[in-house]
Amino acid sequence: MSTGISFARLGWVFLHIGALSFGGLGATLALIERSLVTRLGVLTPADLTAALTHTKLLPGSTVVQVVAYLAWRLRGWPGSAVATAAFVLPSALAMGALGYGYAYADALPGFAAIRRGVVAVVIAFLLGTMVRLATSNLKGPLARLLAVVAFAVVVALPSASPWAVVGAGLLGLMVYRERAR
Amino acid sequence: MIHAELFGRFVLISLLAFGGGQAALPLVERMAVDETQWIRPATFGAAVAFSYLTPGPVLITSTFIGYRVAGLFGALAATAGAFFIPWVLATAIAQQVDRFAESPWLRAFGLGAAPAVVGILGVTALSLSRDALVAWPYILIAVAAFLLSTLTRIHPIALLLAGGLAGWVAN
Repeated sequence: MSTGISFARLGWVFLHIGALSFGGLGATLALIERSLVTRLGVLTPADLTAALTHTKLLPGSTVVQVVAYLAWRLRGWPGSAVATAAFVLPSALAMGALGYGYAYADALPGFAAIRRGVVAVVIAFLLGTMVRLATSNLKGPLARLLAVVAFAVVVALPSASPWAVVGAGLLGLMVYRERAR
Repeated sequence: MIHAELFGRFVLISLLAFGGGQAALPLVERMAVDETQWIRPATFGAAVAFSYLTPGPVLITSTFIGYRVAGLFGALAATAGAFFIPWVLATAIAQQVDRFAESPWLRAFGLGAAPAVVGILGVTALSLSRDALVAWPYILIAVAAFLLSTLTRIHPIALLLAGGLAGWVAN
């Protein structure tokens, strides 16, 4: 574990990255690479690759996990906590402010049409995500069947989505465990 | 009580979101819109749009939903719930990389869970469509955005702003 960076500096760097990381994981990795690999020299490109490789299988937000992983390498558990909180803070503040302002905007005439236009784009993004996830995850008839069954189950029983994921995961444990070794 | 529920529900979602923050969105939608009816489908759509417009992780929709449900402390509870377990897992992996990262159990569970997430993502798209794609102009906006987002390198924020403008013009 490297200790070449103070907690304050680590927090400041990830606050900065969190405020500028428009565009998801790719943008965040580029900012981390520029700040911590090129400018400060406290991480290597191999560290970034390891972070991506080792967090890819975990559930939850990958970008937050990459930050947590890399910050642990720099300053252990406290450093990881500081960096993760600093990274999430700008977007959390922005979303809190939007949550506050949304009630007022929602009452404005014409807002519903603007919102529908924006949500139409969100639907397109979700479909794009679905295509990307399907391409990488629906390999083989069983995986495709699991996707179709999960879709049907959740359409019929909307509150069953966690159980659909757990059920599919348990089935995965039975079917894929040997393959995953 | 509501704060504990927000925290607990987002912890559960973060535990099941195999495939990153995007994979969590359908679970968030099912929970917040359908199961608890904390927010309307339109509000969820706006929350996701805002998460694209702001920096950081997409799962920051949790902050917006938490705020809408229970104000500032609701936002804190939901945000902590969404990111606490992923943080613990990633840091544990960093600490004991050889022991956990190659775990066949985790990998096999993920191989089964990920297809289910794809299926549930379809339900979310369907659910949002019922509320937003209520006329031809909005369907055209969605089709154009899909093509532009998959075939070009136009920034998502530009597409979201253009979608809002097109929706306003269509009105």
